[in-house]
Amino acid sequence: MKLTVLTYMAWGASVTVMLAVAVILLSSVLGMALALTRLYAWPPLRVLAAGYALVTRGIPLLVLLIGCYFSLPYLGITLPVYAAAIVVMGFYFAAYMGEVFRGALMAVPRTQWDAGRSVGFRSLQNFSIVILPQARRLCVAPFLNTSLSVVKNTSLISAIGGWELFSTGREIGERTGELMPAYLGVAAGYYLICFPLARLASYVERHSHA
Amino acid sequence: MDTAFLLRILPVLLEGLEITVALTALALVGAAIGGLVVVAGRRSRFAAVRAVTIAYIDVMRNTPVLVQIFILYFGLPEIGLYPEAFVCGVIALVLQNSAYAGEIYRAGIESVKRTQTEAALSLGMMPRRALFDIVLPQALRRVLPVLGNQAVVILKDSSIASTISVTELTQAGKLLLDRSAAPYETFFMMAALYLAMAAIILAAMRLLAWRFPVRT
Repeated sequence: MKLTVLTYMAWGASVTVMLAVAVILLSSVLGMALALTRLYAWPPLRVLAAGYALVTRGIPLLVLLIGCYFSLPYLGITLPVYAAAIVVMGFYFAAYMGEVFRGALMAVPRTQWDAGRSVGFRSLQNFSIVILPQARRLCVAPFLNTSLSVVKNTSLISAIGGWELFSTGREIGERTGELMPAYLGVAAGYYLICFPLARLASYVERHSHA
Repeated sequence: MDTAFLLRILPVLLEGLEITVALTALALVGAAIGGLVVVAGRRSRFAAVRAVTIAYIDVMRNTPVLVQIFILYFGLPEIGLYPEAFVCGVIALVLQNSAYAGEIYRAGIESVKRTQTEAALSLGMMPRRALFDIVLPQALRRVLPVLGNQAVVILKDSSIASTISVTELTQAGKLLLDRSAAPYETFFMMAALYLAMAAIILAAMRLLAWRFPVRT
């Protein structure tokens, strides 16, 4: 009995992990595009990207999820819940990932650009050979922290009918009548997924100062 | 988009907004104070207190607010406590954000150079006075922008209280979405109201940062 409950939760947890991975991948790609646009694109586009980040970060994810869930059918778009959730969360966290990448790119001293140019690199070479490798090291910790936030926020997908770790707690709680153990179990599940990420982030943070 | 309809749903959403504001304000104050307790525990001279605080921060940071709200609202009745949904929302937001606020304070305190404390002590100040009069004012000024961002996070996370049927802005909007066939208008209004609130919080933080600048 206990074992079936645990395997059920583990199944939910694996869905949570898959959702989180998909969202992290999508938001990283979009976030990188946002960061590059904000830093190097044609000025009006920079403003647009900055506006996107500002607006997205001022609206709760739950509102976006519910909003899309209710309005997409009116547009004639019928996406499976998971697909819709991944797209919404991907675009939402792109704003955060964009800040992470932008911060890392800006943290590379300006003199590095000059140094690269003086060795004869063109802008694109300069960016990919000199700047990007340094920025990549700087963005690891904030990237992991944002990823952790993605994992936690996938729990909101249950609010629009997606089935994942949080839903298993709800179902088990309702069926057995033991709500407290069920939700504590869910909390433990999220903890087990997030703890390694948090540990890794603080490890990287401590060892990147040198 | 139908403007007449927008005006008709506005009062319903504003009623929800009131609750959102109350939730956010209470959670903000609670987390600002809770953060001080957390940072005090984190920097305590007793190893046991430090360990407990670190465990607390760990648990809060690694579990979703949604789960915490459900544990409070559905779990507590099993041990004979029946808190109201609104109260559960406030407590969950305070519990989670105290951990974050504490870490933000700590980063600020650790960014103030040790020489500041040494200078204060050498002037004959007591350690407590050195902390409150010399270190904390500098630390808080430096972390004001980060605290502002965290305040916006609290505002946004207050929407999660809708899952335990607190009729705040998100829940009010959801009820409208259920009843009307005008999803865009309702969604647009909700988003606009949240954005306005976030803008107010950030503007207030700007004002504070301007009033209490970082001196170097």
